[in-house]
Amino acid sequence: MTTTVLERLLSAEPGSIAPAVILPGDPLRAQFIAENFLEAPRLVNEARGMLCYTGTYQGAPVSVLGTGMGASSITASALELIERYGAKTLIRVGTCGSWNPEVHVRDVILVEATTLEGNATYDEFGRYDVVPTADYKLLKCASDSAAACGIPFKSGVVTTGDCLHPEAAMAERNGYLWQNHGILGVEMEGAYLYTVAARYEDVRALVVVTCSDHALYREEDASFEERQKSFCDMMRIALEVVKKQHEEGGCRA
Amino acid sequence: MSMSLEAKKGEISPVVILTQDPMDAKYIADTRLEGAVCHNRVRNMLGFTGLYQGKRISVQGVGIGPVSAGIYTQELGEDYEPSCFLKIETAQSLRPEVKPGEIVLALSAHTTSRMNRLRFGDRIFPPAANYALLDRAFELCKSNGWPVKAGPVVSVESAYDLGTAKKLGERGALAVDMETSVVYTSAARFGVQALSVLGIVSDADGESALDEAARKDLYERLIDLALALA
Repeated sequence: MTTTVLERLLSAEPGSIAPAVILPGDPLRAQFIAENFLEAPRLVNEARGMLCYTGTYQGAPVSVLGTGMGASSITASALELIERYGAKTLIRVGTCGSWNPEVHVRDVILVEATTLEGNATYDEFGRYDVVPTADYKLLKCASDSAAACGIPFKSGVVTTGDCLHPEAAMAERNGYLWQNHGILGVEMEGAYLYTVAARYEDVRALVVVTCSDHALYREEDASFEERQKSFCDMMRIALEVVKKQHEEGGCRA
Repeated sequence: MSMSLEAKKGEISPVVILTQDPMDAKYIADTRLEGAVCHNRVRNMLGFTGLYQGKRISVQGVGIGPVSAGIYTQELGEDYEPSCFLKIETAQSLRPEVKPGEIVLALSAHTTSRMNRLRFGDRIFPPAANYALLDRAFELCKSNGWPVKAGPVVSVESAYDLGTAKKLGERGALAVDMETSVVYTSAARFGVQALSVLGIVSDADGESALDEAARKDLYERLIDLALALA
C-alpha cells in the first residue's frame, strides 16, 4: 500500500510503541536488537518494511524502529513517534564512516553535535547557524553508562551528510573543510533527529554511532554481517540509557 | 609573535584562560598568578602568563564578539601551540529554569555570525565542547554544590540578535553569549580542548539580575573553576 509521507507511516496500534524508542536506520538491525536484547519483543509494525518491535529491557519498556536512511526517513519517523505515539526519548544507533586518523573501525562515538547541510532550520532561522545538539541528560547518562559497563567511547561531533555517493571532485572539495576540524565521522540522520527533538520541550534525543568503514584504515572494514550484528556495545549503551531514564532519578544530569 | 599578540613563541602557556575584557584578564593575573608577566600590550588587549599552584597558565583578553575572539584564538592556534582554551564570561539566561547565579557549560554553540557559513561552504558547523573537559567541570560543580547545567548556548554578534536568541531558547538553548561559537571553532581547527563556562547574571526576561556583589562572587567562582580545570 502506498501512501504519501504526509500521511501515516506506521500501522502500529495506538499505545503499542513505548515512550522510549531506539532508532537504527536498518529495519533488520531493529529485528536483531529486539531478538537479542529485549524481553518478550512483539512486532508492532511491518508497514513500509519499517520493522518496529516493542518489549522491555531489564524491565524498562522500549521500542525499536528501523527508520530507513536519510533526512526524510528519520524526520518522518521521529515526527510520527512523537505526535502519534507520544515518544519522549529517541536514541539513534547507527554506523558511520570516518577519515579521522584517531578513529578506528568499531569505535563507539557519542555524538555531542552534528553539522547540518540541509534546510531543516531555514524556515525559522534562515541563514543563522542552529547546531543540532544532543540532549545533555541522555549524553551524560550514556557516557556514565558506557564507563560503568567498561565500554570505551569517544565523544565529539560528526557530519550528517545528505549525499552518500558524492563524485570524486565533490568529495575532495568538501573533504578539506572537514578534515582539519576534528570531526569524528560521517553518517546521515543525526542532525535531523536532533533538530526535530529540539522542537519539543519534553522530547530528548541522542545519537550513538559505531565506525564501520574507514577511508584510511581499509583493512579494518567491517563485513555486512559484522555491521549488522557485532556493534552490540553501541546498542547496550542506548538500552542502558533507556533503563536509567525509566528508573526514578536514574541520571545525574 | 602574531599580528595582534607581541609575545614570542613559548611566552604563552599551552593552557589559556580566555575572557572578553582585558581588565578581567589583568584581575585574574593579579589575584591568582604568581610571577605574572604581561605577554601582550598590543591594542591594550592585555594577556598575562604566570604560575598557579606551580602550573604555568596564561590568561588572555579576546575582546567582544566572534570577529575579535576569532582573531585571538586563530593567532593563538597558529603561533603558540595551545592545548586548552578555558573561556569564562558572565551571560544572560534564555530559559526559565536557568537562573541567575547558576553556571552553564556550553555543550555547543548556535550563532548568528556568518563566519562559519563562509568557512564551511554554506554548511552549519557544530562548535562543541571537549566532552571530557565538560564532564570534569560538571562533576566539579556538583561536588562543590554549585548549580550547573549543560547544553547549547547562542553566540550572537550584537544585541540586535537577542530576538533570535530567545527563539533558540525555546529550542533548548540555555544562555546567550558572544564568543563561544568562534572559540570552539578555532579549538576544533587546531586540536585544542575547549570549554566555555558562563555565569548567569540575569534571567531570560532581563527582570531578575544579580547585584554587583553577587556578580563578583559568581565571576570569582568561574575563575576558580577554570583554574581547577587547567
